[in-house]
Amino acid sequence: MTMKNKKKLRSNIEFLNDEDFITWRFTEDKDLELLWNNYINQYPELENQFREAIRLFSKLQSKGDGLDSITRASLLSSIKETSSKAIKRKKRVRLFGRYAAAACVIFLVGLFTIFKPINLFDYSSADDNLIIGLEESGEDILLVTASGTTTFQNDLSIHINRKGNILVAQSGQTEVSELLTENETLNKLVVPYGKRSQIELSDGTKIWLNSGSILEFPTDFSKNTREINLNGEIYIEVAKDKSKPFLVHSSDIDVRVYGTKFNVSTYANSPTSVVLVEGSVGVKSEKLDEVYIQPNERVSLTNNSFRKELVDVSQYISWKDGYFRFDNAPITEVLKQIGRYYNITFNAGNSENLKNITCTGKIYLSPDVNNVMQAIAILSSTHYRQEGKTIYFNLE
Amino acid sequence: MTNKSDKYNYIQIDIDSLYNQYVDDLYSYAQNLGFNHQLIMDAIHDIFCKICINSKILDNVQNIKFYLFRSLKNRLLDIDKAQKKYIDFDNEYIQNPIPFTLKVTIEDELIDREEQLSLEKKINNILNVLTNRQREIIYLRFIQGYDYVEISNLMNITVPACHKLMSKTLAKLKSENFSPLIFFLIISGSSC
Repeated sequence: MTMKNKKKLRSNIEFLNDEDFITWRFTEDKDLELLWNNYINQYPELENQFREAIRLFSKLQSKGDGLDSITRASLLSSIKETSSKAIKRKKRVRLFGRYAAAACVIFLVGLFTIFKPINLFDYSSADDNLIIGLEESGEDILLVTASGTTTFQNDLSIHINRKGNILVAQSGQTEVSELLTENETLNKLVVPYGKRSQIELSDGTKIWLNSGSILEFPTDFSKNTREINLNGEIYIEVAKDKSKPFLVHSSDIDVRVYGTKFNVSTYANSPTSVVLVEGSVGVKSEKLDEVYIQPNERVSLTNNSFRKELVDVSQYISWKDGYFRFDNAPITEVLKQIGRYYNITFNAGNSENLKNITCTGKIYLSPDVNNVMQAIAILSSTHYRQEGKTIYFNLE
Repeated sequence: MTNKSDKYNYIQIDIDSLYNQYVDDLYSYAQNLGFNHQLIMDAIHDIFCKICINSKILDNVQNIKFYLFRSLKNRLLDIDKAQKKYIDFDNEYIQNPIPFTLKVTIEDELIDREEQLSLEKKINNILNVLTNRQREIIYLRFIQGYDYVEISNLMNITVPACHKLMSKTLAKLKSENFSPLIFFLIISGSSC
């Protein structure tokens, strides 16, 4: 069969305007290719025009508005500026690492200042119907290991590999840093207000650290018990190992675990509590005997005694999944949690009206604090506005 | 000390040429993906900063252009996600298709202006009948010259799915432009 059906194309432009030609070049279809080869064999005199058409078509480019030379240059210089600042910061950190021991001490002192309980609700402040919040500047996450102290600006996801090295990935970045550890010394992860992190220990136990928390953990659980130290709040899924009980130590309670999922909160400005999702744990303080908790129970330590209650666990652990759930919670409690998460200190006015406002619903913890404030305003029927770093809530 | 500043300069120069070589392609890719100017500028800024800060990233990268495209797309999606309003949480996070627009231009001293414009119009019309994903694959394969493994990575689908998408694109183009050549193809295919 000959190619009679196809009319004879005369110039490269005619080739370029032919739908089949365009389709072929775009899709690289083998059948079409065969066909065009046959076509050219049939009309050898067209070969030069045909080759030229292919060359021209390959010059096809995506048409964009493009960048003008000024925007182009200013973007490049801002890239250089930002990165050279970051490089300097990095160098400083490296230098710091050399004096790791000294640095640890300094950091510890610093930490106690940072985590000193903040008086969130200063009732002496004036306006009756107003809650004022102030966004604090963000601190970096610190990870202290045998290789020194490393700081990170973004939330972390941490793994311990078989070689006993710590692998750290920052959220939003693909790069993974590897840190050396020693078995004898505990590693320390410090997550300031406004940040969170996740860690998987060498035994497979997974821990989510909430804002304003410090966790000490060994690289490898070589002893008969698995022990970690906590100050702040974690949600933990303990890997089962009957031969090695798991212990969470904090300043006022110890939690003994028998393979399970639970939440521990030991903030200085809220009662220490443990909420159990699955399995069974025992909670003990220096003066009090061990109490056992069943799933869906919460034990809190108030006035030197344990109080046990049945709760909806999702309210206590939803933070690990990036949202808060509230059920008739006073706005003061809501703001306390939000403040911790985003590093904002709130100042409630002394109006009874405000104290009686409650929130019910879900707040998605968006990276943009504005979205969260809007959600709170809706849930609590208040008005909110932000001026610079200051946030105001107002009754309607 | 001199050693260190030399190294620093070396990175700087490297970034200059890298930036100048790829920034236009990156910008147009992001624009085709439908992102606004400011967001694109931020994302390009971020990915180049990352390279400046840790040039070791590129040590294991075989195809720098591909690496840049992929990091740019990821960064754009991250920033975009972060900016989404809380209200969108329930509805919008159920994967919304990303639009992909593509307008082509063909510039060559051998084509005169009038022919160029009519040709561009014709090709753009053809591209317009395609779906977003089909336009995106043509752009990545034809305009940017990526292979199917790279495309699968950039479009977040498997390699067989890329081939399938391309053959669907072909079918779509064929059905839109049913012409004697195709007719010939069918006849010759069945008679051979």
